Amino acid sequence: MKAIYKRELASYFRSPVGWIVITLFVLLGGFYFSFAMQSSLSVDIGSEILWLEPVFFIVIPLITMRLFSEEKKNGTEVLLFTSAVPLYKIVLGKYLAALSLIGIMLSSSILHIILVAVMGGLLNASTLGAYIGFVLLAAVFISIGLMASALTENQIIAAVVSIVIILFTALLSLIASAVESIFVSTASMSNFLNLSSESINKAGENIARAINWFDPFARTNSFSLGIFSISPLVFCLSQVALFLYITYRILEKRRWSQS
Amino acid sequence: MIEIKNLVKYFGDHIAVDDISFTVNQGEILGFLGPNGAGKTTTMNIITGYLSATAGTVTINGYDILEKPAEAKKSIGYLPEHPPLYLDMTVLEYLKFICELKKIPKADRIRQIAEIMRLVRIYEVSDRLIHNLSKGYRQRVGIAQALVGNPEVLVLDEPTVGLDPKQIIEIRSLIKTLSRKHTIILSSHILPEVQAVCDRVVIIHNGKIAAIDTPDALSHRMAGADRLALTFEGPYKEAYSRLVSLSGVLSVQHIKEHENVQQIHITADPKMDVRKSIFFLMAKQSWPILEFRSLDPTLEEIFLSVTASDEKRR
Repeated sequence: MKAIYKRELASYFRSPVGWIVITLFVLLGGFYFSFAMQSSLSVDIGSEILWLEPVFFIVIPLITMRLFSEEKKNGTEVLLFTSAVPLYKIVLGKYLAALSLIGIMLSSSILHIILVAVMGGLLNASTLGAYIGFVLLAAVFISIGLMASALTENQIIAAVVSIVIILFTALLSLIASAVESIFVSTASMSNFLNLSSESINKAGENIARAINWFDPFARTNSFSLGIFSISPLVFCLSQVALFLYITYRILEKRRWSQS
Repeated sequence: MIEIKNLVKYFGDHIAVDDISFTVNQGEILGFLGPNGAGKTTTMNIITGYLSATAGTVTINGYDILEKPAEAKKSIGYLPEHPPLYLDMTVLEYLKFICELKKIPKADRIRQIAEIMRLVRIYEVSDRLIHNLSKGYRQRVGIAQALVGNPEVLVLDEPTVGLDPKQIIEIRSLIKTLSRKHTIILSSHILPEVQAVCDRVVIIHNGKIAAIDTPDALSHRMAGADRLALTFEGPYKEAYSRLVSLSGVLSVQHIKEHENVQQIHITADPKMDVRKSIFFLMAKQSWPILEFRSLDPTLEEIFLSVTASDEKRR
């Protein structure tokens, strides 16, 4: 597993991908930082990190799309799958390499923390919380991207699949309220089960809540408020476990496939 | 060493490997011969654990490839059809990665890589990106990769395909050298290659084993006729009538004529040696012989004769 992890992480820096991702992050972070400096005397690092979360839409597909698809296309997956390394370790090694790249990217913001600390600015629990939230979100999205990459030998398709899924999760709160209003209006118009309008509204709310339950952005938000609770942690880690398991099964299935 | 029992692999409705069984003994070079699409690569992918069989078992060194994959895979070095190379690495980086992947102890790595690089002669390109290497060098890096960890079994899928003649000879002699220490399974669709290197040959056709034998025994099993190629200077029509009247000559085929130089193929009864009588005939008529040789049976002919003789036996 260590061999695969090391090779994968190093290959980010052999190709432009690693450098592009870090440059993008440093540029956007620096942009926010300098603007915040100009408009107020202190910079809130926590909200900087929160503001940077949309980079996932570009960064995650970029760093996950080639993880398995390229191996399949170049025939190098034969090497990995016929080695004595068990398949789950191959999946984990690649996953951790991508996560480490996000860690390296994120650590470039240490400079901002040092600046804020030297200037006597505000660093508190919500700053730390924002970092934890960022990493947890990245952890979930990378597992989704990795799965997309295992699905195809075409990097572009893998990238598009992961962008669509990540966008979908980002839009979950909008989708939830849309579904709620559609449900409430159609249910009250069609006199659904003869329910009172109060209970229809209640049902609509619950449907929205059920959809929102899956929203990783909303879940990790509590961290950036400085609230450390165990439930978003469990939520994110179990999502990661789920998608890594699906990735594992996709690869395992291919070996048995008869088509 | 390697035991393959009743291997079957379906791809949809198509049966790629159809009930194949054979064993490979320690220190043997087994040739896997068959036309493209015969099921060679699929069988090799199953032996190395890349694909799983629909039915049947593969045992390597006593370890079942499905039940004990880690142990079984440790004793195999595999060169797939397309060498599995990371183009963005240098040769040295790549071999170091392979060492790590195969868990070679750190102290051993440099010595082992140096030894392998000397053996397959890629020393001079060790610092170059694999991306920039020629096909021949890439193939050798692929073989180097299979050799890391000194596995007891080497599985080489068409190791000489796409190489120039000089490289082919080099790779063949390399394989001969390797056979002193390794058990080798090698696939090819080139008959002379298999004859030159292998101790035993498995002929596979449409997913089935058509024959398993030593190369010599296979040629003996070639029932039917001897074929000779003859080039001489003289008139074809007259030569034809005189040749077919020789006893032992079954048929004569005109290949081409160029400025009174005739190229013909002669099919002869293998029980009689017709070469002497042809020589004296040509000499008597003052038709100078420019070339005279026996024709190697082609792979297709071997197939035809092997499958035909199989049917006869039934």
